[in-house]
Amino acid sequence: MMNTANHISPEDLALIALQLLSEDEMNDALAHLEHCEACRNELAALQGDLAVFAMTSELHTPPALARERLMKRVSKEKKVVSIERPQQQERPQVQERAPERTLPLDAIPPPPPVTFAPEEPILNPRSRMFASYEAPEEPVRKSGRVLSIAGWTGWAIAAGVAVVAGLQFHQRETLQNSLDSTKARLTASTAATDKAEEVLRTLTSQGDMQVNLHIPPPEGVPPSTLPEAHAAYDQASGALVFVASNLLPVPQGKTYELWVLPADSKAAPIPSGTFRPDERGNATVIMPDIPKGVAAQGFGVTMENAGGSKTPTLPIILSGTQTQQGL
Amino acid sequence: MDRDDQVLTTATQNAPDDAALLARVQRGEEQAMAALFDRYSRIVYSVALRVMRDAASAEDILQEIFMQVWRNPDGFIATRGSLGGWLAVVTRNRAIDSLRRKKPTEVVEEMSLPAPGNLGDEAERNLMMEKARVVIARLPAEQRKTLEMAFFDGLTHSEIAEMTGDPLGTVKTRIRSALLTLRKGMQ
Repeated sequence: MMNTANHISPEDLALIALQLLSEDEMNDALAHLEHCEACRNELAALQGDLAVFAMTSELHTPPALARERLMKRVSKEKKVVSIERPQQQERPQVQERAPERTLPLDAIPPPPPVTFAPEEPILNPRSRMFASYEAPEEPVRKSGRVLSIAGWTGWAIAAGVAVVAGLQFHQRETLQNSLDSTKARLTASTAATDKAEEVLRTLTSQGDMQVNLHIPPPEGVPPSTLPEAHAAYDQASGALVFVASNLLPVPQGKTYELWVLPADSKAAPIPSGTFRPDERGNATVIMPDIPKGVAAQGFGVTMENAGGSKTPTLPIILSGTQTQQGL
Repeated sequence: MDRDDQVLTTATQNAPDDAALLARVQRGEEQAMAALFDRYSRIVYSVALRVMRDAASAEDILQEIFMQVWRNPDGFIATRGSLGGWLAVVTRNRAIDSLRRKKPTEVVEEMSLPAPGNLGDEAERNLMMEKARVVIARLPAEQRKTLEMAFFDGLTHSEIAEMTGDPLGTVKTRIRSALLTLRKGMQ
């Protein structure tokens, strides 16, 4: 792989940029790149060339629901933003900070030893707040005046320490309150999540008992075995729970698909998840990825090819609107 | 400058740059993530679609790439050049890994990419794309084809040599030459 100048040949650098080398070859190359700035720079330039080449792809717009789906996932994975530490801890932290992981350990010079001059104050805030008191002063001739200044300085330092201690106590109390409040919210949301998971498990578990309740048919009349379903939908959040029973089995290569029928008659039905009934004809669709805020006129179910469709294929097997209540 | 131009210029000037958006993503602002998606989803999706040749798989890659940005915005830092370029290359690599059913391996994530322009600016991005397409169209056919097979199909130089019947060295030289011509053409 190396050329006569003991560098990776330009042709092989292009293959590295394209990630087309075998694992062994790539490992050899990475070992060289770690120590060779010239090869690293050329590789970076090649990556830039590839970025430009990637841009020559014909532009396509992602599916309309892709953004909704991403934002839903983003919303589910909320970030925890770390709280900044109090100022007086900053200096020791900086000096003890771990080295950057991309550099070898032995390349990092040892941190300078932490030494405090005898006159240096122990608390940083104090040194900032009362720097003027601790600045070297001109020699004082009269010993009485020296004693007086020393006395006042002592009182000032004591007052400063008291103020800092008070501030720290207040800060600690605020943080403690915030922590307690967060803990309480976490406990409440954990309980709510557990309950929601239990509801979800009960709705979707095939092993649990699922029974439809009807008015008993007159004697001698067999109970209805017609397919039926119930949909619960919250427009604002886009939450949808769909439960169906007495469904006929779907043929191989086919699937049922649920559709939200928008109230806006010009809008196309929104695909809301595919499903196959279990051996007893029961099926559920729980919280499919659909856009929020869509006013729905009703819901429909069609049979589609496995994998689902973007537009419903007639006939509609089950349908219901808010006024019909027929789903 | 007519009114439309003024509106366009104002909109561009008011749009936060990539570094500002990434900083907001780092603070957990979902709106910043939505803005990044609006800015770069077409590039990411188009590259993924070109490699995967399947809309559903391309969307999977799209989701994966943007979730990676959401989870780890530090993965890209401002000194690594253009976010758009970085996303395009990472998308291609992730799509090829997916085709080959390999675990994701990203050398580029540790690399510093030179910025080919301000890709955060839509007008500049479109101009750059057009220019790159012209340069690529002018490449000798065998160079262009070889680069496309390596980049978009993820074929190794050995596989390309086997398919085209060209010597291995010729394949490697064509890839390198095509990239160099592209670099010069964009300067």
